[in-house]
Amino acid sequence: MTLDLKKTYDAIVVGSGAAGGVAAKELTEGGLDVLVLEAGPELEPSTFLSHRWPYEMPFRGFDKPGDKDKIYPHQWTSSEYTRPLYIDEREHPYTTAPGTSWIWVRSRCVGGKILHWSRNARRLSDYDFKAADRDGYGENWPITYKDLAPYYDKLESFVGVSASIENIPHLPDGKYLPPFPLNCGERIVQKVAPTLGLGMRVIPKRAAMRSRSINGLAACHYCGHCGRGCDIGAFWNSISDTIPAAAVTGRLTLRPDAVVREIVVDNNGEPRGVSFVDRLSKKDYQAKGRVIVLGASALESTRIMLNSVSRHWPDGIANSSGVLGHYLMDNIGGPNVSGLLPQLRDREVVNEDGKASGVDIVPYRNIDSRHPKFIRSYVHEGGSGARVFPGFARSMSGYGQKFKRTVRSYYTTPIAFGTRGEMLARFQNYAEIDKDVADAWGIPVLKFNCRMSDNEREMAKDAIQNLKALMEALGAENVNVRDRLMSPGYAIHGMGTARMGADPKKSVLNKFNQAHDLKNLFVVDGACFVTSGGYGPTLSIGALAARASDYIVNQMKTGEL
Amino acid sequence: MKRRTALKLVAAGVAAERVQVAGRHLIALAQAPAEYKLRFFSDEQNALLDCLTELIIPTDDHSPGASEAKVSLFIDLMVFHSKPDVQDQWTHGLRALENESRERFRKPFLECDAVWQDQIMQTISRNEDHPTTELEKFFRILKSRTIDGYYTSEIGIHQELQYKGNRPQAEFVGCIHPEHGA
Repeated sequence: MTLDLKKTYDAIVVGSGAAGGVAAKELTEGGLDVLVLEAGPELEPSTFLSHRWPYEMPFRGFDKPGDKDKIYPHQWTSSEYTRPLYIDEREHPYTTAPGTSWIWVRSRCVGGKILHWSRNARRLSDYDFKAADRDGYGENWPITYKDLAPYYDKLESFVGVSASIENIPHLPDGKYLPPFPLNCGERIVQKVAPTLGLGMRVIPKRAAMRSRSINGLAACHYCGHCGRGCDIGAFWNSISDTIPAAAVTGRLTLRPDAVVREIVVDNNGEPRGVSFVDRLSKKDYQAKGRVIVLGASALESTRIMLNSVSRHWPDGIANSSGVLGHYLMDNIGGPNVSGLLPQLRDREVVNEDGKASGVDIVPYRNIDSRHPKFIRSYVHEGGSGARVFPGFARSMSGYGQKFKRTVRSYYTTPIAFGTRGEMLARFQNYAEIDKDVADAWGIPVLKFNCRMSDNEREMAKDAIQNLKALMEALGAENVNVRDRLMSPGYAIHGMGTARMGADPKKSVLNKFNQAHDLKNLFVVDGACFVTSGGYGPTLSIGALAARASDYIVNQMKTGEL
Repeated sequence: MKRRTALKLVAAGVAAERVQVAGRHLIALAQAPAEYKLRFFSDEQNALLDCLTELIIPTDDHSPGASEAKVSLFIDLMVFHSKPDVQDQWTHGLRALENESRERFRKPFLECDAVWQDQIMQTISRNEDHPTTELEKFFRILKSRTIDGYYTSEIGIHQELQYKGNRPQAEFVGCIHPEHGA
């Protein structure tokens, strides 16, 4: 259906990624007429370069020299294979306050970042929702695991998560498809890691990609290049699952290329719709809706709210608390190790990277005991086996026949582990509007004021020390240790800038993702997070969006909305 | 109605033309030139570069080497698009190597026999981890780009490494070795 500017939609959803896609599905299935506004174009999956070989690319996948610095300096996960899936920073600037940093990776297209995400789909637990009760830091969430569990169930049952049942209290099991089998190196780690005495337990990655076809959605075909966009839609990517499910209801209108400027309010300061700019023509439009649901990513939703300034809302819409933009979080990223397992030399080469899904070392710090240097926990994500490009060759010395033979011999041996951990919520970390800088559509951009704290630094130190011990226990060679804690934003998990809470003075949203100040304004993406958890937020974003949508549908039925 | 079809219909009114634009962009990106012509190095420089890459990754009884994989042409393309300081590293490096050969053996590098060429390679690769001289630094970028070019070529991926992924496959067979498990 094409957009009708005269019509008042039951709901306008801004964004079409993990959050917006789930909201679109749940709201339309609940009987609502929904308009989804997406800032970018719709990409046709058959044009993704999922199976392209390096030698079929002009620059072998390494990029035209200089392009990265000029066009995509912060889009570190992007590559020559994925350009249309990421923004061009010349059109989308942002700023940072002196002495602070934020790496802002963005995608503007139908599906957004979920078109190329890492597919880590772990549930949060009351370890997270009631974290303040455990260690006294910060705030609890206004919900418990029990509130969210049914929505995790529903989401997993629809999009498909391949994982194993493990009965770990702080990493609850879900409704799973069979896990992907482990390859040789991963099984060796599974055997060795528990012997370190650190409490490490290795399980198959909990991956929102399908080991079996369900709900008419494709199963993985093991090509290994999920990060380039999946041409068959075999993982949760919005464009093959939630958005089409919304479309079949006949109640979805999807408007791509709609760059939302602000939320439009009436004389009472209450939302009546949104104004947007057409990405290509740069013409302005207004769409009308009874309920506004922001799911544009934590930071873009926050930016829209901060830019929605009116007589009633001088500091941004629904910001009576003054915390909008504050408590900005990411997960920690950076500490990682790689090496080669000599026991796996000279094997026959088989398809080892095709499942693109390795192993998790389950969070083991501050679970049963308390670490003296930091609170909260982290997870290690890793994998092993032959990848198309033997990056380790650069660390092999020499040249000639011997060099070539050595690379061939070690081709099947690489192993690598990284870390994702909790970044604490702190009021001092925030995003605000930079009044001096606008994007290509004249919309003021965000300015970041964000730093890691000692807690994150101590956590990173501990993580790298343990990963080094693991590599030693494995007998790994050519071990490369990168102990740098990366800038916030690096993990691409922006969260917290419109957080939920029981107290309207300390939070923007209530426990149903509804603005304390305005009953017909909802924020369903990572902005609502109270704590960052020790790992990727996407599955929880989807479950929270489903729960909020359920609430909206019921409130509309009873006439509350 | 199939989901995919539904999505297309949703987009049809507004986005059809834009979908095509996005598609064209990707296809244009993926077109590689059929016949590559040198853009940065001279024929003489390219001949020297071709020889050097082959010395780093030579043909053996397993697969062809860097020369047959045309690694020097890949380097030419990358250097052509690089900043002047990077371009200078390459031209100065090649010149320094040539000077080294003429000083030590009174011959251009390409006219030296395998033993002499290897002596020069040994000299320039001596401090690979901590290069200090211009030639040692040149060896580093030369080797790095040779690795990039060779292991992303058809020969490197399929004949040398025999990589088995990047193709749709019916199943994923994990580890089948009891000794690797717990």
